[in-house]
Amino acid sequence: MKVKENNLEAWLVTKISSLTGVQEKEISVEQPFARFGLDSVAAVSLSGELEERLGTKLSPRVLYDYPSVKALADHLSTLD
Amino acid sequence: MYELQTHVRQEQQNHDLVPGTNVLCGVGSQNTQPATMGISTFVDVLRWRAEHLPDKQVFCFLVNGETEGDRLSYAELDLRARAIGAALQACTTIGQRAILVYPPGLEFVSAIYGCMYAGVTAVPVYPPNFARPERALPRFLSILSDAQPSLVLTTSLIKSLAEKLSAQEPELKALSWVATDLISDVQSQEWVEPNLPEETLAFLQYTSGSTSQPKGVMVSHKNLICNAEIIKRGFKDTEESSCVSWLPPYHDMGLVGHILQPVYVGGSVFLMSPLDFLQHPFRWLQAISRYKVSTSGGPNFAFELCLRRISDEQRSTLDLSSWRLAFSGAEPVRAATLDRFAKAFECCGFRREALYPCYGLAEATLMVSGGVAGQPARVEYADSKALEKGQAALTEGSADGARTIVSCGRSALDQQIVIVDIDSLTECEPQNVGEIWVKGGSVAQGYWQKAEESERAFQARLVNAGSGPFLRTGDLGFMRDGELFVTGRLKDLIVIDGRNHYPQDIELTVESSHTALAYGCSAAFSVDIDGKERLVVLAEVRRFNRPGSDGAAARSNVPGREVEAGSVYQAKEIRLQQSLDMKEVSVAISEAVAENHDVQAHVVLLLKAGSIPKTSSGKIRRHACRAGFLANTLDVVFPC
Repeated sequence: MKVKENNLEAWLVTKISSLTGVQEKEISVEQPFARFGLDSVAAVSLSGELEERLGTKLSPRVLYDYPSVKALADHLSTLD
Repeated sequence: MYELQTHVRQEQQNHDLVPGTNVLCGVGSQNTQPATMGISTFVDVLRWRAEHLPDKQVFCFLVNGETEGDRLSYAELDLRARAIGAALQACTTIGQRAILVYPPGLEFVSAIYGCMYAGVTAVPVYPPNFARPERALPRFLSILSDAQPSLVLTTSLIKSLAEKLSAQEPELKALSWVATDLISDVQSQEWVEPNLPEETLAFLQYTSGSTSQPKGVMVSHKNLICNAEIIKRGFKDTEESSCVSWLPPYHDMGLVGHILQPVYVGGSVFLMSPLDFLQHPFRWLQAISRYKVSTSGGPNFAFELCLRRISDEQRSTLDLSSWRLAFSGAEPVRAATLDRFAKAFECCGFRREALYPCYGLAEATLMVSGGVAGQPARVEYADSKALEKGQAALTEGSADGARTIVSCGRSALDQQIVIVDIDSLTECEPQNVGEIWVKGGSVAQGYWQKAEESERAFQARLVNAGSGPFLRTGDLGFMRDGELFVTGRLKDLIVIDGRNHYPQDIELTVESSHTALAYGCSAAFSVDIDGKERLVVLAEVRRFNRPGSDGAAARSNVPGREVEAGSVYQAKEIRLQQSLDMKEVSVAISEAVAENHDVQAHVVLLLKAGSIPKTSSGKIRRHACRAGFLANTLDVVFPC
C-alpha cells in the first residue's frame, strides 16, 4: 500500500510539473495545487487522466476536494 | 437592393421561418423590412418551430458526456415553456428579472424559454456549489444585488440546498425560489401569449465586469433575431444542422450559440456538462463522430486540450467527416493550434476547411465577424515593430519579428465594423491598428442600470463623421480587404514614448529570457512614475529556492548539497547562491526586453512561485498585478 501511494504521488508530481512548468523538486506534496499555478482547466483534465490511470471513476472536482498531492494520493488509495 | 433581397429570399425559402425574417437587422430604415407573419421575438421562433416540426428532437443531454439522457422535441420544449411561462405570469410581471441557477441539463433550457414566454428577463448564472459556498457565492451575491431579481428559478434539489444555506446568508433568504422541475405540464393551459415588443429584454449577460462590479449586458429579442440570422448566414446553417456543445450555457457562446441558435434554424443539439468535456476531451469528438454532427467549436484551449489528451487509439475510432463547421472564438485564435489540430485529425476525416475563426462579444449578442464557411481561414504575418507603432504592416511568415495573426472574417449583413483611432475618435487610415467599433442590430441595449458606462461603451460617435452610435469593443485590430484581424485588448495596451506594446508580447520575451522563468507566469503593465509612463515587469521565479520561513524545506531541495544540515555555513551559502541567481534572472529580463522591444523595464520584480494574480482558469490578471504593485502587496522575492 505504501509503495503504491508513493508511486501515485510521484506520478502526480510529474504530471503537475509538465502542466505548470514548475520543476518536480519544487513541488511539495503538502502544498495546495494552486500554489504551483494549476488552473481549473488543468485540474479537471488531470482528474480524467487519474481515471485513466486508476481505472476508476472520479469526480471532476476531486482535485478541489483533496487539494494537495498527499491528500489526493491518500484519498485515492482508499478507493480500492 | 431590391434584387439582392429577392435573391436572398429565394435562397432561404426552404430554411427561413418566413420570408422577410432574413433582413430584420438593418441599420438604416432603407435596409429594414418589418417582419411579416409576426416573427419578431424568440417566443415566435419557438412557437413556429413547435407548429411545423413538433416531433423533431431538438435537445438531448449526454449524461457524463456519453450516455443519452433527457430529450426534448420542439413540441415538448414549447409545452415546458408554456407551463413555466404560466407559472411566472401568475407571480411576476413582464420586465422583471429572474436569476436562473441550474446544473448542466435540459431543465435550464426549459427555464430560459419559460422566461421568454412570460416576458421575464432571464439572468443565467454559474451555479454556485452550495455545498462549498466560498468559491462562487460572492459573485452570485453581487449579481443578485445588481440585477435586483424578483425570483430565482432552479431545481428542487438546489432549492433545498439554498434553503439550508440561507440561515447564514440573509440575502438568499430574502429571495423567492421557484423549483421549475415541480411545475406540472398541465399549467401550460393557463399560459397567455404575451404581447412583447421586439425591444423586450430576453436576458442579462453577466460575463464582463469583476466580482465587485458586475456588468449585465442587456440583450433584447430583436438583438437575438438579428444575431441569429448573422450566425446562420455565416455558418450556412439549415434544418439539417446539428451540433454538440459542452460550453457553459450561462455565457454567450453556450447560450446564444447552442440553446437559442439551434431552435432558430430548426436543427438539433447535443449538450454535455463542461466538466465532462474537460475531464475527457475525447467525449466531445466522440459525440461529433457518433451523431454525425455538422457544427461544433469552442475557444482555442479546447482544441489544444484535444491535442494533449486524445490518444492514437481513441483517434482510430473517430469519423469526423460530418464536421463541416469547427468554429474557434471567445479567446485569441492561434494559427499554430488550428494547424496542429487539422494535421492531427486529418486521419479521422477532419477537413481543415471546417476551421472557422470568429470574433464576437456579449455586448454584440454573440458574433461580430466570421469567415466564409468551408473556406480556409486567412492567416497573415504582421511586422511586430510596426505593430508597436500602431501600424499593420503585413509581411512574410519567415521574416524576423513576424507575428502570425488569423483573420476573424467579415462583418455580416448591414452590420458595420470601423477601426477607430482612440485619441482622435476618427476612423483610422486603412493601414493602422485601432479600436474595433461595431454598429448594427446585434449590438445590445447597454449595461443594466449603468447609464454612464452604457453611454461610454454603447453610444460612441466618430468625431468627424458624427455617425453612430457605435459599440466600443475594447479590442484592437485592423481590417484588410474587408477582413477583421484582432491584435489585442485596449485596456492592457502599454504606451511608452508614443509606442504601443502588447503585454503578451513582452511577457513572452520575459519568459524566454531565463530558464528560471515559466510560461504564463509574468505580467507586463505600465505605471505613471514621476509623470512618465514606465514599464513594470513581474515574473515568478520557478527553479530555485526562495528564502522561506521554513528553513527545512529550503535545505531539502537544494541539489548536490552535502553540507551538514542546519549549519550556519550552509544557510549562508544558500542565501548567497539564491541572491546571485535572482540578480542574474532580473538582468536577463531587462536585457531581453530592451533588445526585443526597445523599451526599458523600469522595474523588474521577481515574485514567489504561485503568487502572481491569476484567474481560476490560469489567465494573468494584469489589472490585479498593477494594483498589487501600487499597493505593495505582492509577494516579492527580489529585490528584497
